Amino acid sequence: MVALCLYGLADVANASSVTHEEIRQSLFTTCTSPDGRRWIVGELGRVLSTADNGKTLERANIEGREAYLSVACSPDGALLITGQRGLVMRSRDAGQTWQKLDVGTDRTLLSATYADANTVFAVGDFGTIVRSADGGDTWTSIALPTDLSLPEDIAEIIEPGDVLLYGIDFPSATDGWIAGEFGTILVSHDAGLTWAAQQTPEETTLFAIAFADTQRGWAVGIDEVMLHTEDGGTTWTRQAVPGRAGFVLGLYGVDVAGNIGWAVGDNGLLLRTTDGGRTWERIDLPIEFAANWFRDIDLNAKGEGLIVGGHGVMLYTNNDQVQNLGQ
Amino acid sequence: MIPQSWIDAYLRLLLKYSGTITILVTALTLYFAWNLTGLRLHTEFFDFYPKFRTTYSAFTACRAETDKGFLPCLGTSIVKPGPDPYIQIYNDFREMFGSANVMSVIVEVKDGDIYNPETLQKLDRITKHIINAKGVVPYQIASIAHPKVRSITTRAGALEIRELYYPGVPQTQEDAERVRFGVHSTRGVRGLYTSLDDTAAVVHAGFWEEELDFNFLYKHMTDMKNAEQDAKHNIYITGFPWLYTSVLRYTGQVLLVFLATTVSLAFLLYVYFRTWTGVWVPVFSGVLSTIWGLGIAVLLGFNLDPLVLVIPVFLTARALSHSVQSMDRYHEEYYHSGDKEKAIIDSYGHLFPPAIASIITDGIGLLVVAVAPIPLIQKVAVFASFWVVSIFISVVTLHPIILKWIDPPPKEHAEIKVGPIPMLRGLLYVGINFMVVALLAFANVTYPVPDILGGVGSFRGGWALLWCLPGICWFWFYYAEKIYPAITWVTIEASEGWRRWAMVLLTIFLFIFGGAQARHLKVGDMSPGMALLFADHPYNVGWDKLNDKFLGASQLIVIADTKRPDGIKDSKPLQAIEEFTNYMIGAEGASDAVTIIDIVKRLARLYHDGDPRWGLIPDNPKEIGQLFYVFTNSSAPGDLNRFMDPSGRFATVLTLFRGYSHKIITESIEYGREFAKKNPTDEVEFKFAGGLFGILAAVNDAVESSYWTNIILIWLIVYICLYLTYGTFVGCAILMIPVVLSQVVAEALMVMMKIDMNVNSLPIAAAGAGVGVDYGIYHFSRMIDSYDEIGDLDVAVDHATATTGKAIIFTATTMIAGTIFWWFSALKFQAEMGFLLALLMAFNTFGGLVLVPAWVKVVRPSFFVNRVPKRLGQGSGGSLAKA
Repeated sequence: MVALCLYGLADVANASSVTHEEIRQSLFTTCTSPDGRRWIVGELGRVLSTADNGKTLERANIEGREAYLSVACSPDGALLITGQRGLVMRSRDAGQTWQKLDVGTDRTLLSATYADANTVFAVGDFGTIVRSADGGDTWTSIALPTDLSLPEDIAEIIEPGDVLLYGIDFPSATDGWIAGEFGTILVSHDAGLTWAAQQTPEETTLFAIAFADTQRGWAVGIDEVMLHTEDGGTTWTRQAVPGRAGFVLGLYGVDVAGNIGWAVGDNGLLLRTTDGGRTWERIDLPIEFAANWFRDIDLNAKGEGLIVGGHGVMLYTNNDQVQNLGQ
Repeated sequence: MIPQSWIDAYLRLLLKYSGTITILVTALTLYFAWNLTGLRLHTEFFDFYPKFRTTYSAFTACRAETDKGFLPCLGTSIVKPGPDPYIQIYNDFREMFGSANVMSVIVEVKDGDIYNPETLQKLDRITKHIINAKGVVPYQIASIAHPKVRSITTRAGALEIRELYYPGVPQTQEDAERVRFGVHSTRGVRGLYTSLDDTAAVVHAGFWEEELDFNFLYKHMTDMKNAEQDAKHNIYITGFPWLYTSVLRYTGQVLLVFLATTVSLAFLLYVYFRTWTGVWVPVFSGVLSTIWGLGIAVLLGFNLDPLVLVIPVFLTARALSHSVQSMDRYHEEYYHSGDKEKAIIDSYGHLFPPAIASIITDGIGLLVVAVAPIPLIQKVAVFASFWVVSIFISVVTLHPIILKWIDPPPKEHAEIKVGPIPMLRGLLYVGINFMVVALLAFANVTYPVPDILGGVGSFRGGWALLWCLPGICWFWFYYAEKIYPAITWVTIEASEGWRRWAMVLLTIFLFIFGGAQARHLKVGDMSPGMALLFADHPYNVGWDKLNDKFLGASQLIVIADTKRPDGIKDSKPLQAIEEFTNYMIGAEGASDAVTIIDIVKRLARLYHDGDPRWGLIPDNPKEIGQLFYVFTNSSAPGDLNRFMDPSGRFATVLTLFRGYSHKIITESIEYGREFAKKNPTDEVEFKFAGGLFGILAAVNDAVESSYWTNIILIWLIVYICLYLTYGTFVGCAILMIPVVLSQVVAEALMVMMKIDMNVNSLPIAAAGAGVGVDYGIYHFSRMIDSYDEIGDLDVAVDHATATTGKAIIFTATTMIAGTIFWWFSALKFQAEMGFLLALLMAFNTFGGLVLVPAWVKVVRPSFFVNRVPKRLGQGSGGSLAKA
């Protein structure tokens, strides 16, 4: 058990409004608070929020210039940011003030999520999983399952416990999934206290995992890998992805709500499903987007989505339509 | 003042030892002439870059950076200003980061986009063709067809760095589409090597300044252009190496201008003197000074930049007009006394003080230009100064000897028979001619005549001039004798009675009006191409294309010095550089910035399967080192050269701008400095500034701060020379009026004609000021002589105008003829400068002939009024009848 440790309040002044042109930094993750406000984090200490799906933006004035790699929105309105060297920051006043939390690790924390208002997770480098059952006050390190095995050639050089964990999703308070290197998918049915490995047909890196409910889920990764399950992960199958001829690109984020879903990736790769994730089609954005990547997609309750990525790029999706907010 | 007895003694000495002196001068002339074989007519790149920082900037730096006092700093900054900081950086890092002399070849499709096999193959051929150009920096050639420009991706978890044309030059549309995606998906390719609208691609090639062979480059690139330009594609060539290559193409035209100037000067001389002696003696002086001037340039190891040839031609005309002044005076004295030797001593005795004064003012005036720390200007200053001083030999020393040997002029001028056409009809004829010239010139600017002369370049308006030249010559030939007195009469009338006050008021008005305009004169706002060539020149069309369609034709390079080997491979310095880079993108006009950070982040990301969240600067130096190791092992040697040096101590921050102006250049550098000042760090020292911006900033700084130093110094020297010659404070001040006024009016005209001040206009403004005072000097000297003879100021001034006026007007016509032909040059720079010099001369003539007499009559300097007429009743008082 790691003791709660408050480093005191990070310097926060009032939020200031920014335009899309002013955002030149890479944006990594976005989540939606219960009040509908979306939060976006990125490199060089960028923490942005928008109440109107990205039309107007505000920047929280945080002193730090670290890269914020992920943001999680709690059902009770709290916010959690993770970063390099075990960095975790929490705000309970809608981004006005931020507390630095000690989670007991100095590993890079790549993804975070709330299972419920009290239970929160962060995962990252070297098989790191940390869990808090009190909204982030105290943290526990969770061990990887012992049955986790790596592909033979990889196992010779890398310990299973060192596997890099990229994404986590909790579609319910008790059921959660984690995706990582070497096709790793872990599942928990006890609110994240214990985890078990699931069998996947791929041995390459998975960057993100998302479940529409506790049965239907998708995991995406390198080389246009898109895995799909209809049975809570008992069986994972690879879905066909209509990629670009001659180039095999990475997929970095996925989210499905109802029949509509989006998957985003490198070099402007954008996929859409309109049949609840059974099939995917490629949306050809203007070729300018090829120089950029999209890192995350988050759909809100109404099915509206925000896509964020490199050089401050933001796309807004509504139903099956997509719009570039930068222009 | 030189005592008259010395002058007379010198003249007698000349006449006595004429043989020895002739042999000496001939020997020297032959020596210089022999040297002319080594004359190099070309542009030296380094000549444009300032060698030293200006005194002003050295002084401010000394005060700001050291705790030295005012005087020690002043002393140091004059004696040891130190190298120009920008050029120092450029030279220090040139080997490391490549040359700023980048030639760009643009391939533009007329329809559709460049992503088709035909265009991409063309681009491949052009790139390969340029690789074989002499003087090209091997690692500074870049296009999407060059293997150096690569796409970096991951495939199956491994780093894949491959050329954009991989696996080979596109043969099918499918291949072309792959290239299209490769270009669009790799940051730092689109915009830099392909246009933002996909209709054009560019090949950039850096050249070493010292290894450029302009003639080779011209042939090499013209062959390429002829082979590759077709119905579907336009090819444009631009960039500094091509600019000077284009300029050198006009050397033939420069010779044509030379020829036209010489012929017209000979014609003017013949019309003036109506004797062949009157033609060959001044021409001989001009040729002799040319040989001496060019000879010394060769001896000093200078090259002759074709751009500044305006000055030598102008100086030749200068030598000629000195010659005319003295010949004229000799003729006058000879008609008066009939004794050749006495006429020589009398005329040259009188002419000696003004001739020496004007030669010295011209010579020193030009030499002073050398305070500008730009080698090109210094070279021009030194040889032009020597050229002018050689007039002392070619005219003042040799003329008396020549005149002693040749027959005296005929007793009376050859009688000119006015032709059968009355003067009025002649005027009408000339008027129509002038209108035709104007119309043709106008039409030629609007619809340029094709290059008929082939290789010589379109001779702007030259055809129009040629067309009516016979008419103008005919008129001048028959009516010159009537025109000179007519102008003289008008000139005298202008300072009579109340009109002298009008002239004084006019002077004041011109000062106020001109001064108000001249304040807006600015330093080199336009691109060098626009300053040198006309807007429709293919070079400028290409340059506009480059700026319209691509990013980064203009770059500001800032050097980040980590002060230790492998400093770049540490996270703290890299973060400092990243902060700075992010800041620089915010500079006005900046479109993007490229640094080693991009590569580090991209590699860090690819090292982790391509997840953008790993695209950060690693905090562990070991990890950074590893990334560099991976990169250098999977890429060609030299791929990192653009971003860092091999020792890992220095890195570049390349900020790309869309177009540039003097304002953008200075403000962006200032903007960058501001950051360095506000965010002091021990990790990195930012050094300003390299790249095109650094060089232009250095040149503009040098021009801007030297310009006024120069002009004030020249005015001061001219004034001192005048004072030493005449010893009158007020009188000399009056003589300065035309000099200062001409400068002010010329600057006002520059503002109105949108001509900027640049490296090239500096020596010309100075030459104009120095030479311009001569009219006043000759006129003033004659006023003194006349006053000494007559004793009445008003009459003496008019008499001086009546007798010298003709020579001055003639001198003005020769000076204007010596510059006006440049107006038709296809080189905009020469056209503008020829025109400006002509204007300066016209204003100086006007000032010397009209304003100076009016002011003398109004102010009535005590120098005249209190003067005891020395030779009242003696000498050439008889010529009073002429007034």
